[in-house]
Amino acid sequence: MKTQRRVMIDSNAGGVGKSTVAGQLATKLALKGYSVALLDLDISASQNVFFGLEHVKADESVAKIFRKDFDGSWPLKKISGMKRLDICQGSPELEKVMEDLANSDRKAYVLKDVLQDNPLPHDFIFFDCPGSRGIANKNALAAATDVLFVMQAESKAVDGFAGLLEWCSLKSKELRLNPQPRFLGALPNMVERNTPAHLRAINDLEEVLPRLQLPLFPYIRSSKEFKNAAEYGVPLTSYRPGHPANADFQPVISALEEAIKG
Amino acid sequence: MPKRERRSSVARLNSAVAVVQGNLNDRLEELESENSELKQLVAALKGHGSLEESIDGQFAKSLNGTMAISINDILPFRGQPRKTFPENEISEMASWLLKDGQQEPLKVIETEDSKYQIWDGERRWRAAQTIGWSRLNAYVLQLPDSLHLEILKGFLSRKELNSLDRGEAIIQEISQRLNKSDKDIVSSIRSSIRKIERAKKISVMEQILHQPFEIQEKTLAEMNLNQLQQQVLIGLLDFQLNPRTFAAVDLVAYSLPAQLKNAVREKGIVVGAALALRKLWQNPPKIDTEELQAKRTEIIEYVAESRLSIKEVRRLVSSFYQETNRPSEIKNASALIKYLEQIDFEKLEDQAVLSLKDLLEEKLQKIDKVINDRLG
Repeated sequence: MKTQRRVMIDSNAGGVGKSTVAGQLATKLALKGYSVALLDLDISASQNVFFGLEHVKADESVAKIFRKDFDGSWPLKKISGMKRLDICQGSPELEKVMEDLANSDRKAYVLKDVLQDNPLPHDFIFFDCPGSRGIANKNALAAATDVLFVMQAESKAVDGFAGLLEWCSLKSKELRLNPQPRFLGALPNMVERNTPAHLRAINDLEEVLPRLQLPLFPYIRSSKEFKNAAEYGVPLTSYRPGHPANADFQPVISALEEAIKG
Repeated sequence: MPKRERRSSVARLNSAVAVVQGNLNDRLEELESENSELKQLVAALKGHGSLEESIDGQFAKSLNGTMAISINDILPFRGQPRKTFPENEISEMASWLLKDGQQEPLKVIETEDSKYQIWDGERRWRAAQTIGWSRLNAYVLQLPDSLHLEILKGFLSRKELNSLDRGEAIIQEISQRLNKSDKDIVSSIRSSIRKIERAKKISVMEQILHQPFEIQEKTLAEMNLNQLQQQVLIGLLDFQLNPRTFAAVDLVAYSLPAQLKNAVREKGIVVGAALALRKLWQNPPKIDTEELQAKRTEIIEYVAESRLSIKEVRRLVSSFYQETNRPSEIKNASALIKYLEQIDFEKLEDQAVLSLKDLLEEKLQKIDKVINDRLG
């Protein structure tokens, strides 16, 4: 039996390719026959760029679901040519809505509550989070079943990742999440095979993470083709299906497929 | 200039690990405080569903806790479905234990004389003995109605048995359930599959594999099988096994000669390689018995040591047959003469012409010798 997985994609900073990873994973799973929803919780709404979507008003964006008067009709958009992928688009308005939430009793649990009251039927729901530790991230953490950490393989980023790991662990406790979301693993991104600093950072991770039984996924290589694909508004897997970087995502895909089997 | 050193992130990561582990321990304590509730839940669960499900992970930890048990008090379970424990796997496990310590506790059952039978973890237990450990951590669990069945289900769901062990364990389980001999069960499976294949209905097996029991039973009842045949097929379907695949894969492995089964279980030869070697038993070359036996042992050792792939084993076997059979087989040269007459040497490649020339010259000398001997 399949049980829905709600996957928080998080990183300690912006610009590490988190949205690219989220878009790739969502597309690949949808192509494999799973139904997938991708929620863009970032005010920069970068999924619009990756999927070639027009920007939308707050009412047609993810901001809508965080409002008190949300009526349960999800603002989802189909991607052309993809039957099983729905996107809930981001919006700069999200910032304002989040500020309004500050006084709400359940400010960190809005997403969790919304998903409970108006459940989505999808096999996978991805939360593409901003690279910060604000209210959007707490909402994603509270609603998630799994957390995937995306990072760059550099010592500053690895330190940042350690901080994020602590944050997720302590917040899970503070928010009294039961069960606490599972840490799916750490995914080094934009790695250059011939940059020794990258490989040494991965070595550091390899040394420590097994003690938490936290999987370290094989890294995603750096490729300018990700950027080229974004110019055309499609994920790499559609832009150049044969590109070797596509295969880099397979271990994470397998872990997600394993997770949904329950 | 001061010496520069690379800044490692390990220390920072380690402190994060400590925080996360601290949180996990807190969770564990919370779970333990819910212990009494869990016990009630377990009491309610008993008799429902598989025990395997109810003992996993933290649940078992908070329920029973783990115990350090002396290795001498731990016994292997004789009905253990998995019988394949090759040396290389044991020594690999031993080096993991040395490197990381015991990560996973064993699951054991307390026996009447205060010993502990292994439910899960025989490989770890064997490996620990080779490195001189005196104790292992284990969850102590209560004895289910049929330990063999419970362990077997666990292995099947994790797809961890090779076809040989799976075949034997399933046949043992079904023969006990139906109170028949293993031999009866095997022949029932074979005869029923043949019958269904003749009726061209074998694809039905795949279709009913995941259907409810009633539908499976009804479908088989319409197949003109005797009662034992129906019961046996139902038994296989109950383990989520397609009887046709079971007959084609597991039963074939089950029928391997004893020496080959042993090679799989002790020496780590894969089942596919053992199947390729089976020809040495089924259709042995015509050499004397002692020599044949020595040759079989030699080939098994070679395959195990060189870790040959299945393809390489097949090649090895076929070249062995070519070597042994050649002298006895070709006694009549007329076909060869005719063939030689027909060869158009002009059209052969250079290399072929050269090697043919070498070969013929060598053979010509032998022919001269034979003629000389005969004319003596």
